[in-house]
Amino acid sequence: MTPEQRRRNRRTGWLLALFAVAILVWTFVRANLYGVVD
Amino acid sequence: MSSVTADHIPPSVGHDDHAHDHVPTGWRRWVFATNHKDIGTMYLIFSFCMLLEGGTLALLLRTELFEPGIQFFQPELFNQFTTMHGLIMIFGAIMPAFVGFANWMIPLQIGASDMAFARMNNFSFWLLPVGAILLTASFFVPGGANASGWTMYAPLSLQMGPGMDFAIFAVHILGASSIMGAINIIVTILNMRAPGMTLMKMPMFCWSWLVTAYLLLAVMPVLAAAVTMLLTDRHFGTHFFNAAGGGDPVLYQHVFWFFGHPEVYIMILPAFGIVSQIIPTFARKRLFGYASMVYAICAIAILSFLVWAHHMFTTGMPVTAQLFFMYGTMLISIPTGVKVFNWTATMWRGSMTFETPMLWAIGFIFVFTIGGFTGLVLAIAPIDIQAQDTYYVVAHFHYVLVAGSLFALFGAAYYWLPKWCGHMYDEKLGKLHFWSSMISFNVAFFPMHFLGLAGMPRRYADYAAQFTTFHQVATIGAFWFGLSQLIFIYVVVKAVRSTGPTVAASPWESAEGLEWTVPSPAPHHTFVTPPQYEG
Repeated sequence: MTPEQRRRNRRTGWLLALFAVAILVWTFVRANLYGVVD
Repeated sequence: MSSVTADHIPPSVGHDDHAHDHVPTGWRRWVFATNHKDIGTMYLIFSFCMLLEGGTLALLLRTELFEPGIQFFQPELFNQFTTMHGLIMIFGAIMPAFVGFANWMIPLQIGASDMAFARMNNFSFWLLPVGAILLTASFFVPGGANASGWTMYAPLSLQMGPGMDFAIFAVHILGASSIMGAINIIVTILNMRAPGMTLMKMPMFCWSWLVTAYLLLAVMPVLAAAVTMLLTDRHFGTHFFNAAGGGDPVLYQHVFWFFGHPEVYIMILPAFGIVSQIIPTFARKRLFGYASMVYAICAIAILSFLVWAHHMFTTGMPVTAQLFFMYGTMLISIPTGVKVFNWTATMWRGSMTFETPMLWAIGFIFVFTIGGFTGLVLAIAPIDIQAQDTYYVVAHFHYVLVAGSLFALFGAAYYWLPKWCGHMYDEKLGKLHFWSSMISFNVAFFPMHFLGLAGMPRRYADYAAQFTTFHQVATIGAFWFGLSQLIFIYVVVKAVRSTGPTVAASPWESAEGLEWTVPSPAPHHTFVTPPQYEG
């Protein structure tokens, strides 16, 4: 694997990880509209 | 048998760089594994162990259900068995098995030297035993394991003992492993394909996994959030799902099934990919309608996000919503029908032979289609309200997940085993394994349709005497099916330990794809220099 390919992979990987985290956060935010926190 | 041998492989295609031929040995090879083939092997062995554990739990359930009344296990323990059977089979057996195949085959099929993130790949795998140990150990904590069903519905899951926390933590860990695996697969496929291999020239197994990985990435965080909310409701004073505190238990079902329905396709799309590889090889024809197969997979994946509430018709919802989810669910049968049509059209006028992988693939089409049809029946809201939580549903999803996913996995194992270990499996025993599994599977699960239609509820340790005969037939079939899997262990061990001559690079006459251009067994390092793919 060339360094350029490694960089490209890392960039795509972080983008996808960000997508997963965004969905996680979104689920909490949406559920919080219903849930009640003491 | 193919005339292609290792000697005839063009160097640009089956390149094996001997400068990189170092193979680690001993326990370090496995604990610190970064090679996609080693990690794939570990995934497959792990998933088979979990299949045996989940299968043993299933046989315990069937033992109790052989006769009405309570014979062996109290209902509390019975419910722990049903729950853990589901969790272990889904998160421990089926999903990791497909990831194992992805690890082994995707780099070989796209001409990549390894997965994009080799160390993360190692971490993804080693999270699995941790999750599995947590699930299994939960049987031994006070109150026993999680007994709320694999769906972990609130408010029941809010009332369970510490076994529930074990299950939540296990789901977190297994989910993290899946997300990392999905990222690895997407990046590998998007960035590391051999020059010349455009997306629309990619093998169908890779396509099915690319779409599956996106599904995983989109829905595993939703499950993680759902179980985290369960955890905070249980221990940290929130009331997301607790009606007494102003929360809504039905909200849990919505969030869970927003994960849960795409999850069904996560467990079946790679199976579609496998069948699409096997059938052209043994029909000696190109796959009929390649582009439509790709679009069908994408359509199924998109639709899977829009139909989650068909699991919740009995919770009460407006008629408009019922109609939306009912018709949406029925729509999925169109791309699925396209796939079944294309597999059949591929076989049409092909020079077919019926080696073991082909038997599993054709068997898959027959029995999976039965599961698909009963899915259509259950999609009809008024019928679903009658059949909800009955054995009809149990029969339906076992036809999809055992006869669908598991049969495809067995087909794939026989198809690629010669590539992995370099030796052909015992064809007679392979066929015996198929026929024994196929017949016993139907003996075990077909009567469950009748049980369900007659009103037998799922997750019950006891039942009315009228259900006895069908339950006894199902139990006999289940034990027969379980014992049939011993044949598979014997066949694999025999092939792996064989000292005979190795098979050609392509042991199948008409197999196409880069994986058949490297020698058998596949060397530790392959495609160190990317091959030029001509398609």
